[in-house]
Parts: sequence; C-alpha cells; structure tokens
Amino acid sequence: MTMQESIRAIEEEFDKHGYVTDHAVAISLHLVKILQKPLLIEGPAGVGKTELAKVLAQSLGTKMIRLQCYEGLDAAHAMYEWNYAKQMLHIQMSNGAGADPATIKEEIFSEDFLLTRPLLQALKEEKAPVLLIDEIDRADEEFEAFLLEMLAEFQISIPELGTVRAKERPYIILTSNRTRELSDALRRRCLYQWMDFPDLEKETAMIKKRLPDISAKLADQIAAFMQNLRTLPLSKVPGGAESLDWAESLLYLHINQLDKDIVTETLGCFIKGKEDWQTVEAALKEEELLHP
Amino acid sequence: MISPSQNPSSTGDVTDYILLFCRELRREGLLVGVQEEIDSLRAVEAINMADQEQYKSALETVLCSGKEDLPVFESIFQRFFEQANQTPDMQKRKMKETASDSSSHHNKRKSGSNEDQPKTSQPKQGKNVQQSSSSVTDGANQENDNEGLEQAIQFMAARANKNSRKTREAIIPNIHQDVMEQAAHRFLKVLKLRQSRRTAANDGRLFDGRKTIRRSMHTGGTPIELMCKGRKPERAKIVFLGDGSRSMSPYTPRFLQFAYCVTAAHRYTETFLFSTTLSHVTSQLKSEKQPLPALQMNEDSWGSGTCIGESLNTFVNRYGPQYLTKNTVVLVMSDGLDTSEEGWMRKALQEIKKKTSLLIWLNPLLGTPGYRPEQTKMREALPFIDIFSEAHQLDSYLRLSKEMKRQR
Repeated sequence: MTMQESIRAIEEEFDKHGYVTDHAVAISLHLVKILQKPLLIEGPAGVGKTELAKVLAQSLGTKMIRLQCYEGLDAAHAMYEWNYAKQMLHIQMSNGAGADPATIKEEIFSEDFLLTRPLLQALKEEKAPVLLIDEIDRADEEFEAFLLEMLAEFQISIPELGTVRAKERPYIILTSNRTRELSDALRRRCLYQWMDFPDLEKETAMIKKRLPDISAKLADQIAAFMQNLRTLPLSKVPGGAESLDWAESLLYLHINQLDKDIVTETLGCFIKGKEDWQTVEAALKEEELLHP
Repeated sequence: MISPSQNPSSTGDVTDYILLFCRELRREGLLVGVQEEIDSLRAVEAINMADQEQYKSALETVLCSGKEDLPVFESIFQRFFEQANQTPDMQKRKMKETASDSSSHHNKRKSGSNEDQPKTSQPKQGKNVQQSSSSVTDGANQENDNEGLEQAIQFMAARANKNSRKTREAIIPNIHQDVMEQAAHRFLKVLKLRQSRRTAANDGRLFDGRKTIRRSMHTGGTPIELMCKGRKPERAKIVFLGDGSRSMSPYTPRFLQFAYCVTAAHRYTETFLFSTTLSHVTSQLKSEKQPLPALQMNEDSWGSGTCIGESLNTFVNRYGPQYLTKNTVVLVMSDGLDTSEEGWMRKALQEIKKKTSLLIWLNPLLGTPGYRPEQTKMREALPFIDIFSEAHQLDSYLRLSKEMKRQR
C-alpha cells in the first residue's frame, strides 16, 4: 500500500465508523504508525479527541486500553502495583513452612504478585493496542515524569523485577483540554495535533454522518446556529459532541426546523451553565443567532 | 509556493532544507532538537512530498508541540518554502506590497482590534505580513528597479519604526519600602490555599503499601508499622494584574512596589500590566537591580487607555493554562473604568474564578468617600470577586491581610 493509499484508507476507515476526520488528522495518524511515536491531541472539550482514539482502535481491529487521568493519579494506579494482601499471606504461609527468608523475598516480588494497571497492560498485549491516556492535564505534573519512559522507550522499569518492554508497541494517544500547561519533556516525546471546533462544513457532515435520518435542512440549521453560538462570550463553548446531542434530541422530538421557541426549550442540550444560559437567551431575544 | 521535491534544482537537497527549516524554528523558540529533525526526515519520507498539504501537515505534526507553536510554524513555513522559489524580481515586488500591508495592519491595531495575538509573536507578525502578499502580483508589475528599491527602503524604515515603538518607564517607588515588605509578609502569611483531595484525607498522609510490606519483612510479614508517603508540598502561585492606564497612574506604582516585595519573598509569582494591551513584566520585576527596577513598558501597556476586559481575556487565553490553577491567587488592581465590549470582563473573571483559589480586586476608588462600584463593568465583575478592597494608600496594603482574614 502506498503512503497515499494508506492515508486515504485511514480517512475511509474513520468515515465508515461515523467519524468525520480532517486530512491533517489522517496524516498525523499515519505518522503515528510510521514513526511509532505517541500522539498528543489538544483542543477544547467536545471536539472528538477521545472519540478519535476509540475509532482508531475500531479501525485497527484492536483493543483500546484507557487510562483516565485525575488529580492524585500515581504510578500505582497507572502502571503496576504489588498485591500486598497476597504477599502477606504468602509470607505467613512460607514462614509456617519454615522457608528461607531470601527465597520468600524473591517469590513475593515476582510477576505472580504483580497487579497490572493500564500502562503495563498495554505493554503486555500480544497485538498492539490503542492506549488512550485521557485528559493528561488533569493529572499532577509529577505524574508526567512517570510517563516519560513509557512514551519514549515503550517500557516500564520495575525496581524489584527489571524492565518490561512492549511485545508490540502500542499506539499511544494522549489528550488534553489545556487546563494546565504540559511539560516540555512530555511534549517532546509526542507528535502533536491541535483539534479545534469543527467548521460549518465539517459540522454539517458530522451531524449527517452520525444521524442519517435527520433532514438536510435541520442539519444545516443546527450547524449554522452552533457556528454563531461560538462567537458569543461563553465560559463553556459547546463542541461537536453537544451539536450531536442536540441534533439527536431534536430528531427524537420530531422537529424538522429550528425557531426561537424550540431553541429556548432545548437549550439544556448544549448549554451547561447559568451565565451561559442567560447570554444565549439574550442573544436569542435579539435574534442574533438564528438570523445573524 | 511548492514543496522542495517539486523543484529540487532551485531548492537544493531536501535533507539540508529541512534541517535549515528546523534550525529556523528552533531560533524562534520551538522545541526542536536532533530527535525532531530525524523524525521530520522520516515523516516526509512517509508521505507524498509533492502534495504540499501533506508535506506541511507532516512537518507540523512532528515539529509543533503546542497550540502557540502553530502560528509561528505557519509563518516560517510560508517564508521558508515560498522564498526558496522566488526570483529576485518577485522578492522586490513582494517588499513593495508588504509596505502597504504593514501600514494597514498597523492602523488596524491602532483602531482597537481585539485580536488575541501572543506578544512573542509580534516579530512573527512582521514575517507574516512579509509573506501575505505572494498571491497579489498581477496588474501594476512594470515598476523599474529604482521604484522597487525605494519601496524596500520605505518598508525597512517602517519596520524599524515599528521595532522602536515608544517605550515608557514604570517607576517603582522605594519610599516606605520596609512598610511594604511588612505588608507583603503579612499577605503571604495569611494566604491559605485550598488543599487537594489527596492531602485532605488522612491528615495529609497517604498509606504506602510498598514501604509497609518491605518493613514487614523484619517482623515475619506482620505489618506492625504502617508506612505513609510524605506530604506533597502545596505551592501557591500568585498572579498580579495591574491596570497601567492613565487614570490609575497615581496608584499603580504602589501596587508594583507591593508586587515587587511579594515577588522577592515568594518564588511563584507572576506580574502583568495592561492598559490597552497586556504585558508580562515578571522578568523585569525579578531583576536584581538596586534601587528598585524601572520597568520598560510599551505605550499600549502603560499610561494609555483602558481595555480591562480584553486584557484579562488575553491573559486567560494566553497564560491561563500555565498560571491559573487551583493553587493560584489572583490580584487585580484597577478602578474598573473599562472601554472593552460588554461581556468580556464577565467572561474573563468567570474563568479566573473557576480555575483559581482566590480572586482579589483592589480598587483605589473605594477609598474615595461616597464611591459605589456601580459602573456597568464593575457590576459585571463583582459576582466573581472574593475580596474587594481599597488600594489608594500605603496603609491599604497593610490592611489587606486583615481584610482577607475578615472576608474569608
């Protein structure tokens, strides 16, 4: 398969799974495969960063392993942990049988007593999985340091056991909403892709692709409305995910055309805060959004 | 503009070209090292180099590592791969067109455009301007060489003027320095940051299974002594946002003195000044000059009009991911007399409030008898402010810590 065909195949495969992708994103994914480097995707919430990893796994026919980051996440929850209860039980039993302490020590720090967490699991898979490290910006800065070895060498060093190397290098996708700045060390180990809110054409295509039953007119109206909405000073700007939720809701409500009342009644599908709600209501009163 | 592979005779070897390109990006501050150079070469081998879009996307994916890098990359990419294919005649024409573009761009900035361009990219805007005209070449193309040269000189002069834009000095007073140091000390002492979930539980100590099991080896596997992980120190970040407009000129120097004293005593401090645009002045404030440093400000950030909402939005968008954390305390010093459009102040403060621990607004007008914060923009700001305090004299800063204790 030539490179051109490979990039086109990615686009077609994503299209088949209902994900409308850019040419630039397809090239990034092609490079992830060729260069075998992790891909860091940044962008506002709801633009399809996590979905991209899911669809990548589907299109590759492989497993997706997800590590959801949060404040306080540490190596024990992300990489591996010793099974302490099992270790203690083993020590007690071995002591009762009069075993040699050195042997006990060796036994309890073997793979039998190791609990694998997502990162280690990704290295142990026979077929290269897609490893999604989601919302890395939510984890503490210190946690990034744990990831560096994994991202650069596709291995994890366990002091008691040695180094575990990947059987097949996983496709690593990291996502960030930019709630904090990531370290340069992490950035340098990754390819980079910025995903912004979809433009009118892409948003319309997304709605039609995900909801084939929707009327073309309504899809166009929703996409145009969302484009206008994103020009307002909102604290939580709705992304593509909200557009799809809204479109789906309108479809269930058997609505074929947008008007001021319908938008007001269904604001909750895409507005997630009181202040934003008031801003949109005010804009609707002045008819800025439906008829800009 | 074409990619190198399309015209190898005029562009030279692709490898050399990409290495030069990487060097240029590095000079502009992008994180491009040897590994990135190797990856770039591998990346362009993996795509169709004749396709300009693919070529650009591949290099962008490998060589950019953040959103801020994208406009810099765009600018250098255009300049780099465009200029390589230009004849000297084309370059002269471009210079002429750039001169006119440059002046219109300048006018746009003067008219108060709220475009959020990073400060560091200002010279890069120049590069952008330099390239933006490549497509506009037809029509009056018959100028002689002298005209071209004249235009080029004009362009260079315009650039020189732009680079030597008027600067103003923001002088930090050193009178009553000891009192201000005391105020800074009290302020830092009274700061209590919200603790994270990790440290809030278990009195800040976390069970350490690994250490416990290792220790239990001495007691036959019985975990007599439970080991805990050390408490992670919480580091406060303090952000000062000072209004440097004309109306604030009697008060902001004192605020800068306070910021200077806090900066001297606390490591994680950042200071910004704004008038119609925002300037990051931390490095100037941290310089070791004695007596206190006089800050070199451009006229848009010191002694000009006031665009508080826009400036705060610029801060949130450009520096937010770095400085707005749950351990951040933000101090805004302004009279709230804003000329920004309605809604911007609310948007910025909402974001600051959401992401930080404490938002303090110091308003010198509060010291004026009969003053009530009833201007539209101040009313927009009030719901997001945790502590609203005066700052019209030295004592205001001494009282700030008391006010913080009282209001929290």
